[in-house]
Amino acid sequence: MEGMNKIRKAHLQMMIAFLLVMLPGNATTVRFSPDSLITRANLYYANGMYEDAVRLYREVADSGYASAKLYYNLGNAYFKAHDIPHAILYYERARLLDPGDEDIRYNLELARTYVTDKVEPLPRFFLVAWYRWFLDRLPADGWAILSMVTFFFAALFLSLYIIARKERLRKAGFVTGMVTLALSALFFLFAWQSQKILTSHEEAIVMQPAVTVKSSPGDEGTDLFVIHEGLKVNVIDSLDQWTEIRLEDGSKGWLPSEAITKI
Amino acid sequence: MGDCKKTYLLWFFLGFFFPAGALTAQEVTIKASAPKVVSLNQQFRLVYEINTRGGKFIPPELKDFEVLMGPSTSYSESTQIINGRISRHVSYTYTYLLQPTKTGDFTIPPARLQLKGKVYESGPVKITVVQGNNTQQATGSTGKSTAGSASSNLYVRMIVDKNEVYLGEPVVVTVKIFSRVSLTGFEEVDMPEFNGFLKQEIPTPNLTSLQREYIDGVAYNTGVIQRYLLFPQTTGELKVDPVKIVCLVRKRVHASPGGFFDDFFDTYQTVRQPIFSNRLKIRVKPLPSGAPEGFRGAVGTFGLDASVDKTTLRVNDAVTLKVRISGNGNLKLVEAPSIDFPPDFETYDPKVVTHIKNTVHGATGYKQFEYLMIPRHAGKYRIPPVTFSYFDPVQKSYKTLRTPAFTLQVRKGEEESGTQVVVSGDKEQVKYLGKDIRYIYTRPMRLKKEGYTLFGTLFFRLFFLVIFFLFVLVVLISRHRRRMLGDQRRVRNRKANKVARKRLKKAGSYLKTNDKAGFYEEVLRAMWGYLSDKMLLPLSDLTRESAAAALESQGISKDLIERLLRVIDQCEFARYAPEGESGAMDKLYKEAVEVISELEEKL
Repeated sequence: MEGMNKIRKAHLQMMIAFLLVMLPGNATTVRFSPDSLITRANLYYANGMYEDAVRLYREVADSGYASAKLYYNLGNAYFKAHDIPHAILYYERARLLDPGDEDIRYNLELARTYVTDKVEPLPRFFLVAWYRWFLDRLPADGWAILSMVTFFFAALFLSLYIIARKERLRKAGFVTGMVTLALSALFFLFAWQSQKILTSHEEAIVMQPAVTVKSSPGDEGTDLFVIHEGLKVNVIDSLDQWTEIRLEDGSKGWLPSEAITKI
Repeated sequence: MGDCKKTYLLWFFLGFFFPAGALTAQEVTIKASAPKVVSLNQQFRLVYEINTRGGKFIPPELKDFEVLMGPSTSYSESTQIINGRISRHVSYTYTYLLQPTKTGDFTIPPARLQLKGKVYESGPVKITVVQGNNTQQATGSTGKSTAGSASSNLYVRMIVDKNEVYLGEPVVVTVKIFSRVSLTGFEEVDMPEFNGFLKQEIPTPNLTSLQREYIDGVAYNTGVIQRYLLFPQTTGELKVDPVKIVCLVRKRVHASPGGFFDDFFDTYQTVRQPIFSNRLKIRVKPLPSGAPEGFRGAVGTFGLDASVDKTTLRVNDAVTLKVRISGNGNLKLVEAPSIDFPPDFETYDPKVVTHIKNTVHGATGYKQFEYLMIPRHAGKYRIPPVTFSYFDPVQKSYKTLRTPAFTLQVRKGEEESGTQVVVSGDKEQVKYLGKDIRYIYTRPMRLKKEGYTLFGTLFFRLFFLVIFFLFVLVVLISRHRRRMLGDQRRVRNRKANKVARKRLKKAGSYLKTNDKAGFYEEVLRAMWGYLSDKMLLPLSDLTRESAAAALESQGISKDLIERLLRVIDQCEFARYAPEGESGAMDKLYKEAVEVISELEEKL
């Protein structure tokens, strides 16, 4: 039975290897195009070879490409390879790029159930919560595009107001123009905020199995609490090799910078 | 123990009567005695005899021998009074029952006695252990030296069928007695604790008569006292302590040496003789690695059988799944196999029927698990195959047995439709059987450079700038056009009077030539043209009403508008009238000039 399985698996691997060789762009060049790497990684994932899938997705991600879907797939591969902190890290990165994606949220929630620490988040002021909820409906680029489109229409309608002779047309042009202009400004604000969140890297994931958080940057600080891998923390400050973090429940402390990876 | 107490008491009394000083004069000696040569499997006694009481006996180190029993102490004392001289003989004995563990020459170091600050020593004891003429494993019995010691004439053995077993593989232990003396019975049978084993007794008939058996040509009466099945529960070398049996042996006692009746009337005396068996050492090997999933320690040879009592049933009817594991092995420890029942089923803990017979070939029989299930909803259900894994110690491999899967057809109950209405609010949530992450995104994805956001890019900024400039352009063009348009109007406004007067002059010339149609035509054109230029309305849009409304909005009095309209009406009317007088034409001309002059003043 065991031997049979082994043979079958070896057979399968050979088939996959064959398929991989047959994929376009593989035979001639050593450096593969990111698309073919992703296709191969997907194939690895589909056949349960998660470590290999991780390797290829990482190759694409590390060569400077980014995409919510790529990070999502990478997170999935990490999850299946039982590397929960990395899975959470990439799910979080994917969520930053596309905050509204339901699959990313679902998998992130599921991965978070494997995290040891349970931190009760401080309740947000309801306006802030609404604002964040609204902000999360679209990725940063989505807001930017919306802002551009509405600005275009605002210009169009205001032009109508200026050009038109008939009083009614002018009135309609003015009202719609002003509304779209206001919307454009709002979307511009959202785009700006999203972009700020995206580039500020103020959140991080704990990558070491257990980290003692100290009261001051340095080994001689008092031990405050212990957090475990996979937990999300907010980065406040850093000094030499130490980073000050804040948990979602508001507790603060310093930990060695290498213990966390910024999202 | 009771004996000991008694002797102490006696000693106390004696000590009371006889001054102790008389006794201590005697020299303290420790005498060790043991056979010089023993065979490997022979039990022997090591006796230390001390001729005084008290003191602390320090036993020797007995590392080369196995101590089966001891030290047991006994005390004897004799007092003689001969011619008034009292001589007393006291003896304390410490007795060990030993068994050699290996052949060779051994020296037992001296035993010591600490008494009143002095230490007395026995001499060392030299013992030669020789190979016995038989080993116990070979035949399950022990060769004995035929020396007249009681233990070779009467001994008990624990015989095992194997010395090396796998964890959970049963060992058959037979406790057997070998006797060459006349044995009348057992007073006490002390079975050892079988530590590390699960002990199962094999039913053994009561020992009523002994069988005759020859061992090395010597006839023994033998009998099996008890048989056990031992299932080892831990790995490693497990030791079993000896069995102790107190036998009642009938011995012939010569009443008095050289007595007259000796030859005819022997008297018999029943003697209690404790005997000890060998120790057992059983090596228990751990099960090899690679146990299949679901292996729970069953060792032996087994069969698996499963059945359901019906395959089609109604909702809320009970159905029983019977799983029977039969065979030979540690059946008693076999656990109920776990079965993945359909989640909609109500299930209960299985009812277990055990039928196991312990024999010398191991424990055989079966264990039957009856699972009662009640389906609560109609449908087609599958009960997955039941699997059972065990280790076969003969083939030294793991085996997995599997029953077929069962399919149950559950139909709706008859009364269910009636009750359904009542409990319609009792809807069930979808039951989630497992949780997993969602699958990867497999369609081609758009990759961007890391850290790229549309916001803040040159394109983004340029877009806004361009749109803004376009808008500004629109505003500028529009303003320019409006200014141009405004100039045109001013010009038209300024010229309106001139044009009107020109036309009226022309009308005046028609009046002189008495060209009626030409006159009215020209007056009308003068009026409309003037209005069009002044009101900035195209001629096509001008009607009596629109002109009146426009004039009114410019603050022209109703009276003047009325006069203007009358002029226009008269012209329109006269144009198509067949005849008219020149006096009317004259009057109209004057009126038109007056109206235009007045309008010019006000506009």
